[in-house]
Amino acid sequence: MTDTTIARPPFDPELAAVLTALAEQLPPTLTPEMIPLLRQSTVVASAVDELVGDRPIVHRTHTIPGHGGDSIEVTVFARADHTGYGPGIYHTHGGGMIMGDRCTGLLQPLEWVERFDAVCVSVEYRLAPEFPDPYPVEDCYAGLVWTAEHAAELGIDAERILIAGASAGGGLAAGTALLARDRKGPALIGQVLIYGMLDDRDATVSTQQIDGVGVWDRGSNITGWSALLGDRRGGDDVSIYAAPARATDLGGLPPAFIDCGSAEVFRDEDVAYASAIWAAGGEAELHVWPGGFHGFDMMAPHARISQLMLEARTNWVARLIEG
Amino acid sequence: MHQLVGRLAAVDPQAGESLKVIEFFDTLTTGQAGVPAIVRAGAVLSGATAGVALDGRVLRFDPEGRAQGGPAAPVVAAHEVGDASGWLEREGEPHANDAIIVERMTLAATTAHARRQPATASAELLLDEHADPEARARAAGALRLTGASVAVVATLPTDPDPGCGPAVIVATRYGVLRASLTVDPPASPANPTGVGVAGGWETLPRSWRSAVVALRLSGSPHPLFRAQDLGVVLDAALAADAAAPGAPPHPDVAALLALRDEHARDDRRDLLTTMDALAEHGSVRAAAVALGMHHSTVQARLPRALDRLGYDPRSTLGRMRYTAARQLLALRESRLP
Repeated sequence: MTDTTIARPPFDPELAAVLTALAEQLPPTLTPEMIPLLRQSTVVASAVDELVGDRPIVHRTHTIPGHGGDSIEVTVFARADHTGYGPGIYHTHGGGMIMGDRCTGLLQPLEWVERFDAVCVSVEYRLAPEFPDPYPVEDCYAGLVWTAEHAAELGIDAERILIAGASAGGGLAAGTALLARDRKGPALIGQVLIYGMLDDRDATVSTQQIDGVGVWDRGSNITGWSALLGDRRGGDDVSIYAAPARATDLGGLPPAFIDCGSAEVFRDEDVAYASAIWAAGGEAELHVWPGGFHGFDMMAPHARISQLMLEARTNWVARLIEG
Repeated sequence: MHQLVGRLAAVDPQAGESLKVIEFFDTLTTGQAGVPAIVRAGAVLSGATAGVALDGRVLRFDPEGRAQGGPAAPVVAAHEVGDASGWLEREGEPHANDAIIVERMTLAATTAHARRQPATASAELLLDEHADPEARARAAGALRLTGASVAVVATLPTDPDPGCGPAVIVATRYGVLRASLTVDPPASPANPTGVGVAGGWETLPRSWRSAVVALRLSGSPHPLFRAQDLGVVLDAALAADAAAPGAPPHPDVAALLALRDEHARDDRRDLLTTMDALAEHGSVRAAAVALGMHHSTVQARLPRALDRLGYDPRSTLGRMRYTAARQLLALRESRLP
């Protein structure tokens, strides 16, 4: 794809072994033709039951107004013994803007539901390319508005809602937080941006380094962003809500937790986002995990560095919620 | 992207999948993973709690990668390498891949442990001709090799450590091998052993390369092969090894391969067999006797075979040339288990 690929940071050996083992199942570069296959997954309803397992968690799915008033769905998760009002976790799932559903990436948020007696609302935003920008981020914003408006019924303290998402979900969480800032609500106490997909411009060093290797490489990133933005990708007509990395003013945002691996496409844009938050006088905690490829905590949860990544996120959420 | 990924569950119990287990631990070893990472790998691959005991320490992890201290489930598979032992714990019957997993896990754990011993770090430096010269000199001093005549001994990591000196596991293009630095090479080992050329510590990198050549030529009934026994042919062997993997062989070796591909119409034995006999016995008559053929049959084959070969192996020079090429062919085709 490029004529010269810059040498990248090495993969952590525990993670490298998993990558080698799963290499056949997981091509590094995802192309548009693969999208239908990538979307083949179990029906969401059964996935939810499987996800919850034998945890003492109940869930309920609601149909709500999304962008343009069209119906979309959210699923609300809470402890079976939840009473009163607890913190709210608004979850925007990952999948490169082109795949995934509201159950994708929910393992850790459900642990937070159990541990902090929080209520999690996970939104099923509409996917690109069928629903290009601004559908995904506006559906996410609409779901956040619904969550805040119905907080009391959902057992959520409307003053303690945080937003969390991974990968494309991280980008959508950042974009939704920017919308919430600029539209003067709903209020958020924090944003968890897990290896977030923030920048459509394909111009960082890390995008050049991760090309044809690892997970969600440069080519895959172009596939995802092109599905979302079409010809606008990389041009002058892309909003900061679609690509938060383009925002020049990151003041007035809730505290952010940002994490990523040192050997993934999103490394440089995630580090830049944290730096921009600090430059605007804001709060951010940044972790760059050495030798991590994209999504390594999901692919190799047994590895030491995966456990450290998951613990760091939970520690931050605990400090945010419990003080 | 994570939706595509199957969880790293216990691998499919078919023969081909055991290669995935081997590859998994080889990747960890090449990446210099530590003992805890290796035990976690054993647990995640088997879906059972894995444990390793070495050097008075016990490490156990469950398939989620969490350290375990508590009571153990029954041991379903175990393996020992020297003083170290590894095992898997689960309720019920062992799974098909438990044996290969526990074997490779224990082996990799002993390698990772040895690597972190100071002697091993020094040995690793001495085998690397590109390492900092001062660091290498210090390492030689640390191992008391300054002024000594030292050689490298190559063995398979699945065989016991020969115990003749500090050992380090090295990934080579022939697989992962054990390199032991010694002033006293083993004389009659039970397992395949390649002894490299002895010299001062500065020559250890070349000694290692020669030990790898020797190991590939070792085999029953003589598990020990000394690189020095190749004489000047060792230089040719090292040059062949240094060539890129797909590089064509020396023309003399290619000629032998061509002979092997040719059969006389009336004999299923190839021309190489005929030529071997000729080179060894020096005359058509003696070769015919050795082959159990009539001398005129051998004579009839001669022009074609000599034409293919390009020289006559019956002359002194030709015999040297033939024997050397034959040795390089054996080396080229050797396979380590």
